[in-house]
Amino acid sequence: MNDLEDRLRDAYRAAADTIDPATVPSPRVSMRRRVSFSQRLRILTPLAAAAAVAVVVTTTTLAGGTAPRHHVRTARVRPAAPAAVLPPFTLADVGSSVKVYDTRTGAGVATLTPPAGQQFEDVASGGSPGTYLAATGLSGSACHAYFYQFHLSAAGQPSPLTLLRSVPGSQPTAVIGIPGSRSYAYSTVHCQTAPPNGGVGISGPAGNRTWTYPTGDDYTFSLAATADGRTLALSFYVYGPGFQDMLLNTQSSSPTAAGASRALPSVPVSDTLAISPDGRTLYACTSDGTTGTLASYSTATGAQLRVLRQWPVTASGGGAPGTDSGYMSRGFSCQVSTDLTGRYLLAAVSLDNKLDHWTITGFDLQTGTSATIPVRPHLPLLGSQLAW
Amino acid sequence: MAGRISRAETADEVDELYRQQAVSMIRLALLLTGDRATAEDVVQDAFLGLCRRWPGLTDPAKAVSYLRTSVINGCRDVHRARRVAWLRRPPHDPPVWSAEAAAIDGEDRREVLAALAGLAQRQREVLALRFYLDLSYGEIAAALCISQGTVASTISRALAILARQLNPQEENQ
Repeated sequence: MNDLEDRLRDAYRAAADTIDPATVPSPRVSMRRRVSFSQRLRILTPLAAAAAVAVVVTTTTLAGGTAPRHHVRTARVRPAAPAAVLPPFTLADVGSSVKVYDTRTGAGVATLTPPAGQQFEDVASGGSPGTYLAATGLSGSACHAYFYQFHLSAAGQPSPLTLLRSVPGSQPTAVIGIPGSRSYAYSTVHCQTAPPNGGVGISGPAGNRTWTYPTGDDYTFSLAATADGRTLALSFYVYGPGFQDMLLNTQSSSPTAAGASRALPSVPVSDTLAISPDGRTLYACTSDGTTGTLASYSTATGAQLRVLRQWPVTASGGGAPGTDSGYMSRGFSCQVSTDLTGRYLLAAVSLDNKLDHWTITGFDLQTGTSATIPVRPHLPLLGSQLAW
Repeated sequence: MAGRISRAETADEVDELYRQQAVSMIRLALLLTGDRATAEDVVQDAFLGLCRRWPGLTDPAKAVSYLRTSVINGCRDVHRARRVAWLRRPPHDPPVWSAEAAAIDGEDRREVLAALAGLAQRQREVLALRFYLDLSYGEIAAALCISQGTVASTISRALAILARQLNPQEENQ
């Protein structure tokens, strides 16, 4: 020990003591909630138009027209509206299994279990009717991402899983089929802290292409794809700007996900994003601390196009809307996805951190009708990624 | 970790870890970034990252080491972002070592902290881990992913620089 080292220790201690433990904030979001983002409920309602059934539960209309961002309109009840016609089955990924429910009654139809030692991390449309994708990770301490394909019969019975791809040393974060094709997009995050931290990939008959996360702790919470596969919508986290809604151009020569993407700062950050097959419309949720809103947005301008539904929210913490902390503390989680045609939208909403009280709603964007789907899987943690 | 722990257990453990470690991590980040708001942001992000990676941690007992490394990496990102004027956050408080920051009593302390701020990033990191957290060379090496020899040489060079800045008369004698 010498004088200089003593002076160093004294200066460090004095600087550190300016942080009064009593003033250290609580986590901006419960870690309980945050964990759920990477171990999300995945709900999949397969669309098979020919097999669609009428749902006879509560039906409401969508709030129509264009609504200014700060002057949104609440959905109105229209008793005379026709019953929403929705896909016959709803699939929920609860980690240990994917459960297939009857959309109309909520009754369980089938259960798909992962291969031994694995746990589901995502489930999504496979790009064609009756075809689906699933992502799993190892349920033990090791890391390995697996991506599978499976089919659902007309009676809702799943086929065995067929392995498409495995990525050692990584955990999967999302998967989505490219509508009308045999291609799919996927994302992984490395289990090691050193960069690169994983990335986004797209795979199909033409081969495999990846975009990496070279820095920070980047993470893609959800993936959605246009019909031509040229655009992927990412709910993305990158250190610095934080959460961002991004559109990844799959024709870009950039090797990084951020470099190949265009941020949409005017679209509220959202747990998940859905995109219309033509790539013109994004669907996202936001909350200002008192109201949760599901709305559509123009991908060209970022302008809000239409409010689909609003929910009352009790704010659970500080943070300004539109900021990381505001996003994380809003007490509102909403997961959305569209079907292959872009006509149907599925939304799962959790309010006020009531982790086991999810409301699942199907929207027919063409007729303006919607219906609550009587499926309320018990979740120990908040968070879900919704796929259609 | 033997088998996968439940989600609720994971959340409880990370919440508990926050209660135990948040203060020391924020203080470490403060020493590396200079202002409290950024330090809190860095630590919050580190804990969020931990939550995402928790299922993949081979040994949850090493979570503190993971957090420490994440905080250091986060502080590096802050510096990188500031260089490119990319950090879209509210204006920061003056650095804790600046003359405008009245929180530090004593001219000598401010002088030492200001001299530290002039060191290279890795030198600042190594000195903070050594003389604030009292980590061993091995622990510092693990946290920064460098060899123990590099730790020792970095500390030696950093102390030499500080000595010249803080004791110029002695150096000139």
